[in-house]
Amino acid sequence: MLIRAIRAEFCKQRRSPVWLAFLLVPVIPAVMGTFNYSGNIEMLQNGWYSLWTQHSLFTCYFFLPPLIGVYCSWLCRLEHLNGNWNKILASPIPFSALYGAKLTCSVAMMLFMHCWIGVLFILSGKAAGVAGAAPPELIAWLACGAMGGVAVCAVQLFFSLIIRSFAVPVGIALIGGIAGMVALTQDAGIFFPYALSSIGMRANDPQAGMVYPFGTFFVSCSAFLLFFAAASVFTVKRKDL
Amino acid sequence: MRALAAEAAKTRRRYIWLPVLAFLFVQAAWALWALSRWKEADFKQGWMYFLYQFPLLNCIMMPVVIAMLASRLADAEHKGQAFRLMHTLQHPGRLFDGKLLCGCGYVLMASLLQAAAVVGLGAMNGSGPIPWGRLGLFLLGNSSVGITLYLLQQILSMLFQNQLAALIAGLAGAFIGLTALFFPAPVQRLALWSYYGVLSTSSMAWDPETRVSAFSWLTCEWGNYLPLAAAFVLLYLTGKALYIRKEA
Repeated sequence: MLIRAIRAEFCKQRRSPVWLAFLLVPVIPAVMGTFNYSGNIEMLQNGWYSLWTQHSLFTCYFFLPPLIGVYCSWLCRLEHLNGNWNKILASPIPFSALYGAKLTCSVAMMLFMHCWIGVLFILSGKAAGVAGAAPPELIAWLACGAMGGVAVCAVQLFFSLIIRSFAVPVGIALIGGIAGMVALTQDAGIFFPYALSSIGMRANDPQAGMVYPFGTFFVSCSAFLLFFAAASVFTVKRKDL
Repeated sequence: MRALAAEAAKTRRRYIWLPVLAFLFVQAAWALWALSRWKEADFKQGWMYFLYQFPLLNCIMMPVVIAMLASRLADAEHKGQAFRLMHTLQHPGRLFDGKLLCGCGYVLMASLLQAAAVVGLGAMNGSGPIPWGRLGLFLLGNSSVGITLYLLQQILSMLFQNQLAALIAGLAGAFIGLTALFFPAPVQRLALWSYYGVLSTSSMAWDPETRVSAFSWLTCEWGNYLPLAAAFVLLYLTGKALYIRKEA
């Protein structure tokens, strides 16, 4: 049932230009980060590592959560219009399968974006003339960042399911990203889903490793995923959408 | 006035102001958080600091907030597929103007509240006498950019039923605006979203050796308002014409 629900979700997205946003928007922080790196090269002397901080800082806090928020809002848009929730929930599909399909789609798009961020990072480094090859840790930064991104997907999907407005969940994501930055400075990032991407990507100091042990980070990501997935299913079953 | 009253009636109990207020609260909280890290010398340049920081925060946040605002105001008709019905009751141009006035009201209110927050934060920290002239320029710059961006977002939100385009434009605009601020002044003036920074009344110079930031007042360049005004007129004329001709 889940596979069929995923297929249905992808059917809804056919010929939609939504993927273009995920392709084009990450270019902006990459350009901005690279120019900032090139302009301050006398201070940023750690090559690829310095470039990574310039790329990932803006990405994690200001742009990744709202972009995931836009996509989750878009995934729920069709159902929120014209009372379509009534038709969907009256059909013989368990809501958990429907939720699973929407979460799979948002995670797939987020993974695509992380791969693209990695490609842009390597291209930017070459363009900026950074010496040597890209660090092998890049894969771990992106993989851990994506784990944090899964938690953000679950949170945003929850908000997009219960809030009919397209725009409000995006605003919540932007506030969340900023609050995530504050949470991280107060050493409380692990307790805040929007800070997890930044922790995973080692946006503040990629050479120092993750600020929390990997096990703690993994438990936090999983806990937010499970909590918000359960909250979404529970709320939709009891709330009139 | 009747078109504006109709728009106001549509927004009743929809708490359109709530996300705008939430963002102002986040900005004030940010400023308070920054204050907790201030040193003795920083308090002397408090006004300059706030009038530098708030435009920068606006550059990051306001394009998305304004996109949200425009999307929510236009979404009322999109969701009910009511644009066609509305056009039988009022001319599409008047509907466009009514929404524009309504949205501008929110933008102006947000700018006023932000100015009040600056006064409150500055007075609270004993930063000296209130620089009313600078504050007036801050308010003028903020409102002008906000209204122009709102017009752009309203056009996108009303033309496209799918609000994805409008929200992505707001998000991309925030990054383009911020990116442009890293470039020389002529490049900054090419991006509408960067005018929050272009029209800023104070600037910052950071010394990498001492790691100290020094703020200074900037002279107001009225010429910077010209591209903004031209963009507003151009957007208004083309946006309204496109909306009137569009099949609802």
